[in-house]
Formats: sequence, structure tokens, C-alpha cells
Amino acid sequence: MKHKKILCLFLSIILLISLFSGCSLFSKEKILKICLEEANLQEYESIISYYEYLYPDVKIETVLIPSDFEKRETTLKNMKTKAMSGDLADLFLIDTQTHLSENYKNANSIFSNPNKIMYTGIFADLSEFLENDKDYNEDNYIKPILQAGQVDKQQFLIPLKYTPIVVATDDNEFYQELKNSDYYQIFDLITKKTNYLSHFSFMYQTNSFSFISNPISYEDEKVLISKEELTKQLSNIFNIFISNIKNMQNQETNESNSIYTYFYKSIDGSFLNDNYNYLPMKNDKDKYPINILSYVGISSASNLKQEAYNFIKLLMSKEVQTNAQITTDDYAYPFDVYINTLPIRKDSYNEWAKYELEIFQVNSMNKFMDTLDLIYSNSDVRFYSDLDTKFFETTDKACWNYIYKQFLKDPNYVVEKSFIEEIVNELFSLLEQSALE
Amino acid sequence: MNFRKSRTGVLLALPILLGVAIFYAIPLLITTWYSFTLGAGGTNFVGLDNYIKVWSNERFKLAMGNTLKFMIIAIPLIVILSLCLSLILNQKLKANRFFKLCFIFPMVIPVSATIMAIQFLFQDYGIINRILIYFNINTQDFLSSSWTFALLIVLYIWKNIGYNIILFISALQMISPELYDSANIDGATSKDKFFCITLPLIKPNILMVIVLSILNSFKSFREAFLLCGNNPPKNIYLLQHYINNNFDNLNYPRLSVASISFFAIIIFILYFIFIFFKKNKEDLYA
Repeated sequence: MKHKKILCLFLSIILLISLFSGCSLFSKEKILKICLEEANLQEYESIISYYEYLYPDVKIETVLIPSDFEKRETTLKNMKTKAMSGDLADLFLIDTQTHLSENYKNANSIFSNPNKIMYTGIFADLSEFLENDKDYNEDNYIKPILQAGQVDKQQFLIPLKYTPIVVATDDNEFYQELKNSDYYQIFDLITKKTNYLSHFSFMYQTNSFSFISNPISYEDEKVLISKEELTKQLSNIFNIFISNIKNMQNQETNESNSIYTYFYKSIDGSFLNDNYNYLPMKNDKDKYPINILSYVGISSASNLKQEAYNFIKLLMSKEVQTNAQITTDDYAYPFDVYINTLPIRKDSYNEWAKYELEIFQVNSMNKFMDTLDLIYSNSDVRFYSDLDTKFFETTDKACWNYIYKQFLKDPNYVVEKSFIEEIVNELFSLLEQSALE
Repeated sequence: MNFRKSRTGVLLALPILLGVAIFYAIPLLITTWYSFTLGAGGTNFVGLDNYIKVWSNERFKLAMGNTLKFMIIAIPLIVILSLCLSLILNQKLKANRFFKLCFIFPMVIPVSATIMAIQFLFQDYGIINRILIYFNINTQDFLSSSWTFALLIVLYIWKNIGYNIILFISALQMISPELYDSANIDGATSKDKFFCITLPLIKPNILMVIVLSILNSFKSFREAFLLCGNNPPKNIYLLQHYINNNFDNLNYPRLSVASISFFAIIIFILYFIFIFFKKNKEDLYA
């Protein structure tokens, strides 16, 4: 009898506790979890506060991806394990390329390849939300940029930051000679004529995947580029590299006759001078490559999809798009990783241009805007992914650990076919892995 | 009385039953459910789509083929080798203890240390290639050629053979010496004694060694991963690579399908092994 009383008391306590804990279910406040880089928190803080002001019933909780390497790896692993059971943040605000401050190396992202992740069902389709949104007008946005986040006309991701690849030059003759050339012709001449400081950023660009048009069809799980084409591209990269190191050795003679060239990433300086012209670079399929550097998407397992969409809506709004893109007046050296991005909205783009025109030389800015229009009309947009990083690491290693050493031994060194074949096989294996896994 | 006895039995078995349910049965059911859904959390049911996609995936076929090939070659090899060695070590030899220790020692060496030693020996400028260069013989790319698969099998056998030897020696020592004495009186040869006395009596242990060897063979992924990373040469691309890489890519449906498919194949293989041994046991007592 005594035992029964104790049991009853015990059960009542459990019931009471569960009732009290259940009270939170009736609470009006919704918690929207946003996953983002710890390093980007400051950038988005004001937007988060503004969102909470606009939607007082929703409280935002940030899930941060640490900038410290070890903490980052552990956090990502935990996130991936939790994600399996659907325990994911509601919204992901992700950078495709993150450098860790401590060693400046590329850091892993939670979604290593956004081009591929769109096929896994991790992200919710935003098309319905966009269609039902009275304020959304597709024509207000730069189409090719938005299309990069689509699969079968379903919008899974919204790109937020992107960068086209443009070279700025103050040499008119050089510009006239190359204005309709592809990346290889431009690089070839740059490496022969320019001052050596520019070359590090050029090498970075050539060694990444930027100038090879989309090499994989994730839908069909197929590698689209053949080994022969890859061999040709790789030979180009190695030729540019050799040209570069030859140029570095002769820098003194070239210095007096140098052309100053920059990539868009650090192009602001060029706007101060009216003499600059801009060369967009075509890839192997005669298109202008654009890399997406940051994007946003909603988890398909989220229970707060509408609330999450409202946040995206804010990110896509004219105010945010215009203000977030206003450039600083910092000067960046060619090898800086100062990333300047462009708006995804056309009206913000115009606002941005107006702002830039106030600061910079009208002539240069107008030429730059014309170049951008040309790029948008024939672009190859894709998310920067781990594949670009791996491609860069492989080619960079081949250049510095092998070719450079051979070149030091013999200044007339020509890269052996067998070596190119070896690297092609390695890269092809990476492509196959990415396509099939 | 019977009820009380059975209740005690159930209570005693309860911890292990709960353990099996929580750590094996429920995760298995959840994984099975995930294999029929898309995305995370198993909310979007897609029927057999994932199975069709994964089974037609070249990478999965390669991984499954390599894993089965590894098992087909390595498991009979390790079982036969460990049985032969335990038969030798079961003899009264002088340095018996030393040899037993030699075989057991690899079990306690950390995998990372083993891999470092392998790389030291077999990498492009490793000791083996230096010796080959010294004798003017062409060097071999041991770590990314057909040699890698052989190397993985050798590593697996070297690492796990000690455990099997312990199991076999304990089984051999359980056999009564009188049986061999009477066989000797009947004029039986060593071959007769092995096939008519030793083998039938250690059959349950052989079954156990096979099952344990299958389970241990999954651990070879550690070696393959440490040797060649997550994108190894095609011939050592195992199913765990496929599963692990899909985990990194957050492709949980693929991961679940691969796991369930492999689980089904292993159950199928084990079922046939059990049937085979059961049939032999019946034949023995017939």
C-alpha cells in the first residue's frame, strides 16, 4: 500500500513536470535557427535585429560555425551527425570559400559542394514561397545569378555574393589586342608583359576551376569534360606558370615597361584612374565565369519555412542588397583576398553604380558597368566548391613542387607529357568522385 | 515456479535485449526508413528511387565489388593461414611462446603506427623502392597501383591473425589426446587424424573465426583511409569510403541505401555459412 502511494506521487510529479515543460509549446515565440560563419556574425547582426523588429513573434538563434580550425571540424562533424535525424538549423547562410584567420588556409564548409547538395533534398524548394510573395518580381534580379541556385526550375538556393573575373588594365594597346580573347590568351600576354606582383593572384585564378566550364552533371552523375580537354587545360595552366616564373626572373627588365593589371577582387583602385579598361575573360566554352561566394537556403526539415523565407526576403530586399554591397575606399593589393561583391538585384545594382560613380572616375566606372552587362549576357555561373579548392591544391602543388624545381635545373624545361597525364588522372579521379558520390 | 523462473530469465536478459534494441534494432529500422526518403530527417518519402539510383551508381558498384573481393580473398586466406599456424604452434616446439607473441603483437600496435611504417617502407622513395633502385630494378608505385590491394590484404592478415590463432589454439587444446592415441593405434595417418578428428571437432570454432574475420574485415577501411585518404586508388575503394564520403556530402539517403544493401548481403552470406555448418554438423551425427 505504502509502495503504491510512493508510485502515485512519483507519477504525479512526472506528469506535472511534463505539463510545465509542455507549456513552451503554447508559447507564442518561435525560434528560428540560422547557421552562419562565426566570422560573418557581425555582418549580419543588424539584419537579424531588423528581422526581429519586423517579426516580434520570431526570435533568431544563431548556430555558428567556428573560425578556429579544430573547433570548426568538431562542430561540422556534430552538425552532420545531427542533420541525419533532421536536427538542422532552419536557415543556412553559408560562404563557399572560407579562409581561417590562423593559417589562412581554406576551411571546410558544412556543404562542401553547393552545386551537388541541391540534388540531395537537404534544402527546401523556395519556388512556392517566391511565387506567393507579392513583393517578389523575378525581373528585378540578375537572372543568371539566381538560376545558379535552381535545379529543374526549383529554386533551392539564393546566391548572395558573387564575383565575376575581370582584369583591369591601364594599357590601351594591350586591351585592344585582347578584348575578345579567352583566358589563356590574356594570361599568356599578362605573364609576359606585366609586373610580377600581379602574378600570384593570376596563378590562383588559373589553378582553380574558374576557366573550365561546368565539368560535371550532378543530375546524370557524369563527368562532362574529357581527359583530352582536361590535358589541354592543364597544359595551358602549366605554360602560364612557366611563363610566370620566367617573368619573375626577369622582373627588373619588365618593371620599367610594366602594365598594371588587377583582378576585380581588388579592382577599386582602378576606378580612381580614368585610363583603365576592363577585360572579361572567357572560359573554354566561350562564356564568362562567375563564382558564387555566398548563398542562403532553407532546410527541408525546417518547421519554420515561412519565417525562414521572410529572412531571405529581407536579404534579397533593395535596402539590404544596396547597403551590403557598398564598397569601402580601402586599397587592396593584387594579391589581397579583399572580396568585393556585386548585388543580385538590378535596382540595387543601379544604386550601387550611382554610389560608386560619386566616388570613382565616371569613365572607368562606366566601362566597368558595360563589362558587367556583357558578362551577365553570356555567363557561366556556379558555386565555388571544395572541388575548386582541391583542383587548386593539386595544380599548385604540381607547379611549385615539381615544375618549379625542374625549371631551376633547366631554364628551357618543358613539362613532360607523362607528368601532365599523371596530374590529369588525379584530377579526373577527383571529378569522378565528385560526380558519383 | 515456471513463471518465476522465466521472469528471472527475462530480467537477466533485459539489459542485453535493451542494448540490442537501442543500439542495433532501432537504428537499423531508422536507417531503413531513411533509405526510402530524400533529404534529412526522413520526411520526404520517395519509395525505391534511392535504391535504383544507388544500385546503378558506378562508384557504389566499384565499392561493393572491392569490398566483396576483399572478403572473398582475405577471409579464406586468414582462416586457412591461422589454422595452419595454430596447428604448428600447438605442437610442443621450443620457441612456441615467442612465436605466439610475434603473432599476437600486431594486435596491440596502433593502426596509425602501422601505416607510418608501411609508408616508410612502400612510398615512392621508401626503403623497398630504394633497394630496387640499388639493384637496378624498376621501382613500383606500391601505394597507388594494383599492389595497394595486396598490401591491404597483407595488412589485414598481419593485424588479425593473432586473434584467430588464439581461438584455434584454445579449440585444439580442448581436443582430448586420447582420440589421437586411439587413432594412432588404428594406424591413422596425420591427414586422416586432421580430417576425421581435428577438423570436425573445431568446426564450431571455425564458424566463429569466420564470423569474426568478416567483422574485422570492415576495419580494414581504417588502413585504406590512412594510407590513401578518402579518394583512394580505384582498387582499394571500399564501401566504407562510399558511406563516409556520402556522410561528408550530407547525402543520407545514399548512405542509408549503401548500409542497408551491405547489411543484407552480409546477412545473406552469414545465413549460408550457418546453413553449411549446420548441415555438416547433422551429417557428422547422422
